Amino acid sequence: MLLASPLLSASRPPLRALTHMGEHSQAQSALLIPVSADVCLSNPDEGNETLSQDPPLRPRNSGTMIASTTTVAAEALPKLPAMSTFHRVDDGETCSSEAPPKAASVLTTSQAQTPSREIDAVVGHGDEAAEVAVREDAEGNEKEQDSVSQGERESPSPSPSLTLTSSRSAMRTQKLASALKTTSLISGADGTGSNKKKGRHQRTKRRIRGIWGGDDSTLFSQLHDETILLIMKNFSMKDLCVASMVCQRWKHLALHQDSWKRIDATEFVQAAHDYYAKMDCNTDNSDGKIDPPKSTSKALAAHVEKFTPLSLSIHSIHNRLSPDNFLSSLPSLQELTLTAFAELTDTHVHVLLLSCVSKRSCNLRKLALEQCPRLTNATVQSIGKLCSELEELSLAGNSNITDLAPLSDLWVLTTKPSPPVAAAPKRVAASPAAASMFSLFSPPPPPPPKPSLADMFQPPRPSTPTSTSSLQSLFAPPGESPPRSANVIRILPQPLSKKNSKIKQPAKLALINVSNTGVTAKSLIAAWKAAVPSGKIVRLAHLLMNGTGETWKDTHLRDIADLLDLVKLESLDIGCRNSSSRTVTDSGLAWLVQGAESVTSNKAPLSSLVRLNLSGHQSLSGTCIANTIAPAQGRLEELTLKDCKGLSVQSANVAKDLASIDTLAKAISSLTVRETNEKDAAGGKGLRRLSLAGCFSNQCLLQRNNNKKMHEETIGSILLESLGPQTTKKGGKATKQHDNLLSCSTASTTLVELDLTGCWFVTPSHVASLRERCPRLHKIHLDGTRAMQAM
Amino acid sequence: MDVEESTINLVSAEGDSSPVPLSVAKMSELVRSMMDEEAEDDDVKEIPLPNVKSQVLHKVIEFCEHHLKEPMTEIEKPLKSNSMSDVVQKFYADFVDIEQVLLFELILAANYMDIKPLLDLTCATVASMIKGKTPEDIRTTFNITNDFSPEEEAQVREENKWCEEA
Repeated sequence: MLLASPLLSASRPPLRALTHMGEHSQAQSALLIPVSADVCLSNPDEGNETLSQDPPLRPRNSGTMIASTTTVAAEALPKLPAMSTFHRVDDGETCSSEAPPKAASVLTTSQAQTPSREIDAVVGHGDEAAEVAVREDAEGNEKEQDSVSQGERESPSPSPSLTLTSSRSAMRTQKLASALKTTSLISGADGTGSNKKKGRHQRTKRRIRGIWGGDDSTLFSQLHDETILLIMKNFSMKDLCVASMVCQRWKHLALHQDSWKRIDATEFVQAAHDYYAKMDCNTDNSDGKIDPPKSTSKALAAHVEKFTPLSLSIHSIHNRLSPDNFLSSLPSLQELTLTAFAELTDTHVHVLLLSCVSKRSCNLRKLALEQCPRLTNATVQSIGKLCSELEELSLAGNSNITDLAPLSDLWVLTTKPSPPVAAAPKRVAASPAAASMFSLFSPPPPPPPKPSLADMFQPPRPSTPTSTSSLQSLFAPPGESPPRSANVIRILPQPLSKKNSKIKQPAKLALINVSNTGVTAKSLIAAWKAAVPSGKIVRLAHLLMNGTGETWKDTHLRDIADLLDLVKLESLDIGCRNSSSRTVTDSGLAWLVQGAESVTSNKAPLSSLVRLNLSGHQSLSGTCIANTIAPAQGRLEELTLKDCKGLSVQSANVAKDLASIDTLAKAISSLTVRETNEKDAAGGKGLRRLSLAGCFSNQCLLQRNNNKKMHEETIGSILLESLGPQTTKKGGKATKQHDNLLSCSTASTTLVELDLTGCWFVTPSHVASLRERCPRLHKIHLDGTRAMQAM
Repeated sequence: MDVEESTINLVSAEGDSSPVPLSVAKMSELVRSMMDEEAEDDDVKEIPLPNVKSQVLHKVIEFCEHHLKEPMTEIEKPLKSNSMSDVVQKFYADFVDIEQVLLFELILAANYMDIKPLLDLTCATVASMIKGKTPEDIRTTFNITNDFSPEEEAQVREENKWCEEA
């Protein structure tokens, strides 16, 4: 499909009708749009079929098409005349301007009675036949030169091929028409229109010769506007500006509303800032001094505010923009990304968010304010207050942000899985029906599940405040963490406070990224506990919280398991970088997987997991990781186990290590290796990225401990072998199987990227065999391996 | 839908007929819809593609065959690099490492046959050839005539003066 949105594609059949009628039947087209748009919108699939039959030789002045596309998309009706008048002269008239209004009326009238698909068939075939004619015609008449000046000259020299083909097209149309029992209408149109058709072909020919005559000088003139727009969708804002300077047509297209829906202004800001900085150096300081950031901001605003972008991203801003002169009014904005904006303060964010508010609600769906050093918790408050529609929030890298309590209204709450029937301490996943209810609209929660025994015996941890304190946390001044009264055990269901019971939009937050911020696992859990009434849990698709802050501990994971809907979780990133010893251990991870056995496999915790990052948790064992990824069978695409040194040699207990690594190898193998035929059956795409960087230290090489070295080599070999299809199954004992691997015919591996940085035992032969077994492997990182040294 | 791997003949502009497995041919929405439509006609085993030259059709088939084995990674927008090998897998980067005329014919064919991944790839390739160039470079690369009047040109240059330096 040319246009991604089904709505847009569905709206195309009327467009073709439009173009075929040309200027002759403006009034009719106006009638046609609503009628057929309705038909097609109600049945998008039919619309798609129509589109696909559509030959590409539509007139190039698809300005009308685009305009009406946007019309249907409720964009701007007034644009239609503007666009069509813009149209360039060299097209002469619309190619099919004579393509009779009658045909169009056939279309409209019969559309009323017959299913739209059959109509499409008529149109499609008629068109196709006509196009064949056109093509032959064009080839037959090579003498006639293509030139703009010929625009209006009628050269009625019908070649034999033309008559031949038009009769062919007539035959074909007729055949179909009779099938549709609308013969009289169609043949009438065909009979009377045949003279006009010649003229149509004459004109079309000029354009087509450009395409098929092999005239290299006009590569772009072959393309329809919408194809060029498709090319321009790949452009950054700067590329668009440059493109607008190339020629008239490009200017028109580059400054088209559609090109500015999603803007990346990173390069623009850099180039503009460089330009103004240079100017600043060159000018004498006597008169008006240029302030580069300010001028850049103004230039940006001047370009962007002409349009109504839906998405704007600017990366690595640093000091290049001045937040005071930053974009003032972009109410249509749905996605905003600003990274490394040095001067951006809480106040600026507040103003910016206010400017995105229209009709009392903020349209922002995605907001990323990353690495902006001056942002503090007040920003979180503004977000919590203003961005009720937010779906994705990233505050990564803002070390001054420590508290997420102000986001209390944004969390998506869902009913807590019902407590187990028996006294078994295991949690059971919620039934889909119960889980899909939004808490805010459901009656006051039932009595909370009995706190698990573990809760009672846990050492002090931030506990659930009462409803008043949850209110307080809403209005807490920046910097103040939510109240944490220690040692209170949740006993009673909290009555919904008056404020909470007020009707409001259900929250939508699905992604939160607080990596490398001051937000710790502890404060996140505290914020959740404050915001979540008992009996409810938070539903979040993506939780990204890696970094240097306070690391995750086992108890945190237990709380997470208690507060978060693990069944729906798609990304979990709890990697940590500083290698403190207090990391998550096997028992912590076990909290997340817990309960998996008691429910059907597709509803198990972590069964939706697509990305998992457990980097830096050094004591995790292979068995435990294998258990964690087991429920996500077929879905997991990315597994990062950087610096998980627990995978390497741990103890003197060689057998245990081997068994553990073997379990992991099997798990990974089942994630990556797919039988070619069952690719679709398994659902997901399979594991595509795997990082084992730093899991095996170089220390082994330096040590003279040959036993350990051999052992680690064995482990490594097992792991590497698990990454591709195999013909022979290995046992617990590792052998040098990788040397004589046979390529397996039916199985293939899904792996695309593999990071083996620092895995010293990797040899060139490993790599060769990996490449052979994993044809899709696109990137492989080998720094610090023997393979690298050998190269 | 039954999964019998029968073949279908795609007929190019020159009239050459290439037998192609159904699954491959159906990557083209054009072919797919033509087949769905004439489903009752069981003997329809030829699809005429009068707008696609043999050379181009072979490329298209090569793409579709490979795409079934190794789907192309989604192309990130805006393009991050001028080199397609940074954006898609090696096969696809090599696939579009061809002369301009053929590339543009591929775009037209992809558009006509309605093969979205191929259209994405070829469009992105053209975009990568434009990215980072000056307007004058672009005109020479693609033989585009500067049809601005002097005043118009002065105006667009003034509006975009800062990217002259690039």
